[in-house]
Order: sequence, then C-alpha cells, then structure tokens
Amino acid sequence: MIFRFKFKQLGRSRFIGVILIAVLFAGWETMSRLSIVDANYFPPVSAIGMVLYKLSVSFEIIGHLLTTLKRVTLGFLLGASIGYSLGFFCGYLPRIYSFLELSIEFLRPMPSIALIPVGILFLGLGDKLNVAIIGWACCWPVFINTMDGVRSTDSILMNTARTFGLNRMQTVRKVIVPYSLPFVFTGLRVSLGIAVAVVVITEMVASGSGLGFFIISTSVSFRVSEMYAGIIVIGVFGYLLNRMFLAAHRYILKWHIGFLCLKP
Amino acid sequence: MKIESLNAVSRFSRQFESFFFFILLTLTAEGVSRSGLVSELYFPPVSKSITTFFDLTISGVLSGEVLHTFSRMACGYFLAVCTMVPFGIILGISRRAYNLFDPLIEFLRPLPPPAIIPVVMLFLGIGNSMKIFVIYFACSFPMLINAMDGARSVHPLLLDTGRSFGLNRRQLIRKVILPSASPQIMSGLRTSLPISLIVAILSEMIGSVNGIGHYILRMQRTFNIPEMYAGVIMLGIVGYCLNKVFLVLDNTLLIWHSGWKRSSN
Repeated sequence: MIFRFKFKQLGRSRFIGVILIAVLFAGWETMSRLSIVDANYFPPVSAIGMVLYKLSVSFEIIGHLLTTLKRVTLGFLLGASIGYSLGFFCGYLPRIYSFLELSIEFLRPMPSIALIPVGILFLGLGDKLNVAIIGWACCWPVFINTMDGVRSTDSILMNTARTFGLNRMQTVRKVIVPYSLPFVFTGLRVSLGIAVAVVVITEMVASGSGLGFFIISTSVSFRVSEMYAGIIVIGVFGYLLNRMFLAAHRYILKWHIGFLCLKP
Repeated sequence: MKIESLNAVSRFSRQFESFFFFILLTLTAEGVSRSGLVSELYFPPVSKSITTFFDLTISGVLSGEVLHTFSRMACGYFLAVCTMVPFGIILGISRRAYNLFDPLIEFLRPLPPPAIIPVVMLFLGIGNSMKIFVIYFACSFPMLINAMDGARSVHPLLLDTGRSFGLNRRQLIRKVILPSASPQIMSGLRTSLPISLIVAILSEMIGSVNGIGHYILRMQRTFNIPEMYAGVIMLGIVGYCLNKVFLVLDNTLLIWHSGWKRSSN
C-alpha cells in the first residue's frame, strides 16, 4: 500500500523529470559502450566525467575558465556602466535623447558579432577585443531598461520630493536612483545572459584562449570527450553566474521584492 | 517632470534634431577618416563604404550572401516555431508533461547556443544542415519558455468561464488558452528573432563558404576593408528591417491586445 501511494505521487512531482534525465544518461552510456552509436562521436558519460576530472586536475581547463571569467566580468562591467550612464542621462534629460535617438536606434540592432571583424582591425586578437565586443552587446539592454526606469518615475514621488524641498541632486539621489533600480536589474540580468553567450562566440571566432576556443580546438582535433567536458563547464559556468546574480539581486533589492509581495 | 508636446511642429523638429545629429556624426566620421587621424586602412571614409555597399548590392554579391543567410535563418526559425510553440503549449496545459520535461529544460537552458556548434559540426559537417540545426536549437528555448508561461498563466476566471459554457478540452484550448497566451508567445518569437540572426552569422563565421557572416570575416582577413564595412552596413540594415517587419506583424495580429492594454490602464 505504501508503494502504491508513492507511485501516484511520482507523477505529480518534478522527480519524474529527474528520472527522465537519468534514463537519458543511462541510455547514452549503454548505447555508447555497446557501440550502437559511434563511440567517436558519443563517448560514454563516464569517460566524459573522467576526462573532466583529468582536465580540472591538470589545470588546462581551469586556465581557460579563468580567462573567460575575467573577460565576462570586465565586459559586463564596461557595458553595464556605459549603458547605465547613457540610459540615465537620456532618461533624465529627454532633450539629449531626442538628439541621440536616431543614432542609437541605428546602432542598437547591430549584432555584436558583426562587429568582431571590425574590432579585430582595431584591437587585434586579444582580451581587449573580447571585452569591447561584450561591452557593446551588454550596454544596450541596460541602456533601455535604465532609460525606461528613469522616465517612468512616479510623478507622485517627484512631487513629494519637491514638497520636501529637495534640490535636483538630492532628488536624483534619493528618489530617482532607488526607483529605477529594479528596472536596471532586469536589464542587468538580460545582459548577463548576453555576455555569457557573446564571450563564447568571440572566443570561438577570434581568440587563442578561453572556453569557447577550448571547445572549438578540441572539436577540430577530435578530442571529443574533452569537447563535451568543455561544454559542460560552460553550462555550469553560465548557471553559476546567473545564480550569483540572482542572489545579489535578492540582497540589494530586498525592499522591492517585499514591496512586490505586499501588493494586493 | 516634462510635458510631451503634441504640437506637430515641435514633434517634427524633434525628429529633425536626431536626424541632424546623425548626419553630423556621419560627417565627423568622414572627416576623421579623411584627415588621417585614424589610419585610412582601418577606417575608410564613410562615403567610400557607402558607395562600395551600393556597388556590391546592385552587382548581386552582397544580396546573394544575404539571401543565403536569410534562407537558413528562416528555415531554422520556422522549424522552431512549428515544433516548439505547440510543445510549449502542451507543457503549459498538462501538469504531468511539465513535471516530466521541466528538469530537462532547466538543465539545457543555461547552455549558451554557441557552445553547441562544435558538437553539431562533428555530426553534420559544415553544410546547411549544421547551420539550420544550430539556429533551430538556439531559437527553441525562448519560444518554448514563453509559450509554456503563456499557456500556464491563463487567468483561471477565463478557464472557468469557458468550462461553464460547456466547452470541451479541445475547444477550451482553441478558444480560450491560445488567444490568451498569444501575446506571450509573440514575445517569445520576438526574443528569438535576433538570436537566430546572431547564431546564423556565427555559424557562418566558423564553418561556411557563403553567407554574410563568412563574407565579412573573409573581407577582413583579405584586408578588403571597404567591402567589410559594406557587409556590416548590410547586416545592420537586415537587422533593422527584421525588427520593423516583426513590429508590423505584431501590431496587425495582436491589435486587440494593444487596445486592451491601453484601456485597462
């Protein structure tokens, strides 16, 4: 009777999805070991695990990981700061935005990847290229969200600030910046995802180091297990960055999340 | 804080301001290039890039490459729409299907689409199928997640109303869930459009013999710099046009939604 009860609960929880993943892994392992699929293309999962361990111990992949991490951090910070400043000015002083609107609307849809060859001309094939391209790709979501946040500052709040006699600087510091912060964080989260994708792209196309370069080079030299290991590392890397960002988001915007929960 | 002036003259002059600034920027770039401040090899005058652009487009070189890229992108994109949107709706409706597939989706989601390219290159070589598959994979996740969210967040009041009208499950899906989820689905389609463009260009840069991504990279490597800039300009125009076309489609198909949003605020 207890067994039957558990069985019914299985379909209702997400545990069955985990079972699906386990089944897929087991299927991969058996098919690879029995050579149903070509083991050159589909090394058994355990081999990938072993290779992952070997690589991490030999510091080969750790070096690439640190390079990628450095590029992502620098590029993200560059793009976010440019996007935030530009967005803030355009939101606070709509006159400036009316000048810049057409130029920005032309530059914004330009995919960052198309600018890689241009960047190679000016910046060579190194860290600077990566950081610049990631910065370009990251600044647009932050720009739009910041501008949106600053522009939509509640007029009640602005009037209250005026009633209290705050001057311009104080209004900006005490009213506009905190109010627009949730919007900015939405933009930051989007551009973090973009940064991770763009760093892999740039490393694949124009770099001699980093995780993107690692998986391309292992792929063309047919070190297939290493390639899969690298892909797993990239996935985990992106996941962990996202998690860290969410934790920072929850910490910094405690008040906003509480406010959202209180709303009827 | 500010009052948007509805006066037609001031609106026109505002648009004119930004156009004027854009022209100013272009002229500055031309001046910087011609005066030799930046090496003219790296930064040819804007006029040269634009004339090269028109030459290449009219002679069919650029347009041919864009056609290759665009056809691959369209294949991958529409494949993703046809498979992922129904799948996402099913996942949104059926609790059991959601429980079954959600951990797998959460497992695959943080993987950036470019990371998939080497694997696919192993299996499918560097032909069209590789690119279409990569574009398909890259587009899938935004569409899937948005379709799933849209189907899940149908207002329970609407569902109950449908049920009290005696609709069976299929009619409920067609008349209540699909229309209610369509703004969210459109949002997913709109998100995956630039992703498909980027992944298409990337897959061409890595392994291809035609297509505009490959063209730009090839021009850079052979130091045909004005041609390279012409390609970049073409890419910017393609991206801009895709955005505009999608906006028009969005407004036509979901015209009820924008009106409803405005009236409910």
